[in-house]
Amino acid sequence: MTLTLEHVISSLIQVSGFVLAVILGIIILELLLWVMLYRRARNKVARGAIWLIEGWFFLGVGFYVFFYQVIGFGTDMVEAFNKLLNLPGDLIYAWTGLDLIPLVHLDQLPYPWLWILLLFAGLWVALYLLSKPKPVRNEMAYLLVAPAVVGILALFIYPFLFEIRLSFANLVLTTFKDYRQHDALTLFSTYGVSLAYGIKNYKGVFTGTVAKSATFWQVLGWNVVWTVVNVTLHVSVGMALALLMNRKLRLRGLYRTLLVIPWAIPQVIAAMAWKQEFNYHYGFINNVLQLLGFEAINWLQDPFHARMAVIIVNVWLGIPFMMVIILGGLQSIDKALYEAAEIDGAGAWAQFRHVTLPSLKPVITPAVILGTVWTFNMFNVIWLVTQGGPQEKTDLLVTSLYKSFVNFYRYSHAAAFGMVIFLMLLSFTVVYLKVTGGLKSIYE
Amino acid sequence: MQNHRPFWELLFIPLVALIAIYFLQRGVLTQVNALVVLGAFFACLTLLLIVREIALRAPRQEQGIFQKIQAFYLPRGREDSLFKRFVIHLALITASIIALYPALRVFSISLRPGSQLVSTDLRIIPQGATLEHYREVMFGDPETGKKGNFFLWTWNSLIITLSTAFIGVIIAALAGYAFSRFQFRGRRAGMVFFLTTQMIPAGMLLLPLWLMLANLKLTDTYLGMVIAYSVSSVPFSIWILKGYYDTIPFDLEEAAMIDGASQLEAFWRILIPLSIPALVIVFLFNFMAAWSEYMVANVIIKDPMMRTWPLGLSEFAGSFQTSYGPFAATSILVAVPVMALFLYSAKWLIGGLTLGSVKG
Repeated sequence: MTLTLEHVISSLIQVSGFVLAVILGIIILELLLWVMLYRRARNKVARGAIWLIEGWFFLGVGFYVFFYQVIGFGTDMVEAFNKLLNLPGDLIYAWTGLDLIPLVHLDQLPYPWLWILLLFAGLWVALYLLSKPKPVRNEMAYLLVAPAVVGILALFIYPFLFEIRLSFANLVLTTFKDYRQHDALTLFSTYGVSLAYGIKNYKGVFTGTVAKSATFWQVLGWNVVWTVVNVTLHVSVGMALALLMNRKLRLRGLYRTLLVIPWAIPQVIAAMAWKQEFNYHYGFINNVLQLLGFEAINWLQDPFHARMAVIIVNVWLGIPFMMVIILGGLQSIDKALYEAAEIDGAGAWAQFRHVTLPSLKPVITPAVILGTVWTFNMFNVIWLVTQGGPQEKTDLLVTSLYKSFVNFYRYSHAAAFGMVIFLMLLSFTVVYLKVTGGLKSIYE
Repeated sequence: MQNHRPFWELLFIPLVALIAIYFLQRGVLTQVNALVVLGAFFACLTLLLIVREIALRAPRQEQGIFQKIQAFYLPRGREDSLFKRFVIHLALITASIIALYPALRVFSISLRPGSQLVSTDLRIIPQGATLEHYREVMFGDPETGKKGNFFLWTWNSLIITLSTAFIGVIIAALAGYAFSRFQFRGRRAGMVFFLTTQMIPAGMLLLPLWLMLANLKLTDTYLGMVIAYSVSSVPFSIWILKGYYDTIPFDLEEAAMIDGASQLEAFWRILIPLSIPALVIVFLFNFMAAWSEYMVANVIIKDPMMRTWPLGLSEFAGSFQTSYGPFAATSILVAVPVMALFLYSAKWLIGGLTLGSVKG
């Protein structure tokens, strides 16, 4: 397997075509929204015509989604695009009974996409001519947000709803083919969905095993321990290092750069390299231990030491982030506060307790929350160092979830499991936001 | 000045010298290199302390090289006591070694000749250091006829990552402007909505995403990867860009609009050029998030021709005893540019991370 010129060229064509298509799509979306938001109908007749055109457009999209999802030509992309090209003809036939299909069978014409664009341009010009400018205030905001909203809808919300639907199905390796033949692997298909399946799946998450042998509660318990230990160590060591560096010190910049390195290394590389260092004979950890007169440890074979090992890796990886954030916070504290504290006779500890900590709070709180969420969902370290082993004792919820569908093909179970994890994280976030009032800073 | 140095500080010199002698002696006797290095370190420290004491106690020099040495050691403002500084430096050096050594290990393994790949050696530059693994991963191994696939993996990663970052920046730049400048209906809801999507862990939506892409026959394609990655960093990018736009006064655009520019022109002609630094950072952020992504790629890509470098590396991880060296060499080749990029842009990235919070 090596890089060839053909591979380079074909990949460039594929990707640049896609990027251009995305840009074209954004432009079309913007033009359509603009004519809808920035202009109003000239008169009553025009209003009716505009309603018709816009209605057609939306109904067209709606029909397309309906056909695509329900009647199921969703399995073949080429066919789906052909259907899309012929949509105008199909719609006219469906609504009026006029068989114009030979006329508007766009896939039989040369340059089919050109015709689609021409059709769109025609509709747009019609909309433009039928309308006149209207006074606007904030309409531009919607134009600007639209691409992001469309993207999020397609790649967060749709999969999310799809996941809910999957959790009420019975999709495992053996039924996969069956679902596929019925085109039931789309959001709106109703094949093979029932409440009983859903109850079974959700009950299974809490009562059965989540991946192979570990139960939900075991994994959750270790996940909580893992998060607490890691975040505590990140914050305390990070704070200690930051305090040491927040002094008049030579070589401070050098230390800072060196200490940030674990964060700068791509996580994947760091995790895989650490895995090798836990080798019984050749890893440097055991070698150093033996040099200091301790016994070598069988790091990845027994559960306790495997857990220690992944914690060591993650602590090593996570300290620089906390250190840098806390150092930034320390440097922004007004020196006058310390002078005032000193005049009042406060010692070093009292200064730390009553000046440093309160001033750091607005910086540390979001960093801790971010760190907690990251640690709780840490995939790379666990997966690449231990693969969750031995006996799934180091598995976190995320890696169990990943295993359950990548290794064990328990799709519907994985969907239900994923929903449970999401609801847990959501409630954590809501409680956090309620307690700290953190949303305020976003609004302003 | 030279007379105010406390006498007892001189006692450090013999103390450190004794430590140095102890380690050197033990190291030489037991033939442990690490102890010798430690001893040498303390010996250097002794020398440094002697130079320092001489510099501080000697009369003030006006010129010459000695003046420079003296200026380096003269206290700058309020400093801690010597003992305190000694302890702080010791702690920071230890921390730096812990931070650095595992990374240097990868480098040292990449230099090991094939015969010594597995060894208990702790040195950074191994005996008989060679670049053969670098040659092997880049240009293949003529002896076994194996082809080097470093360029293939990097190219795949690069093309996916660049287009992802490009699309992400366009979308986020537009939306960030709306959230920064307009008080439109649905603004609050929109911000909360974007924030909530960020709460969904990537692993959770992977199953439906994979089914969607499989349905569209987009697995094992660049398109599928770009689609899977493109919006995942958008909410965060919007957040950073909104924060940056907020720091640019609206007066600038207002002035342009009074001169007859439309709001879109003001955005394009004034705000975008002013926020190029932020756009670059968001691009870098998107780039780096996708660059070393493993979990999603592992599900979507099965074809060896389409592998990105994290997948390629994990292929090495399967047979480590034999491909330890190529693994290390590939890691170094991939990691060094990214680390440089990261260290260069860390300041802004961190600024972005804490932006939302510091203001509140």
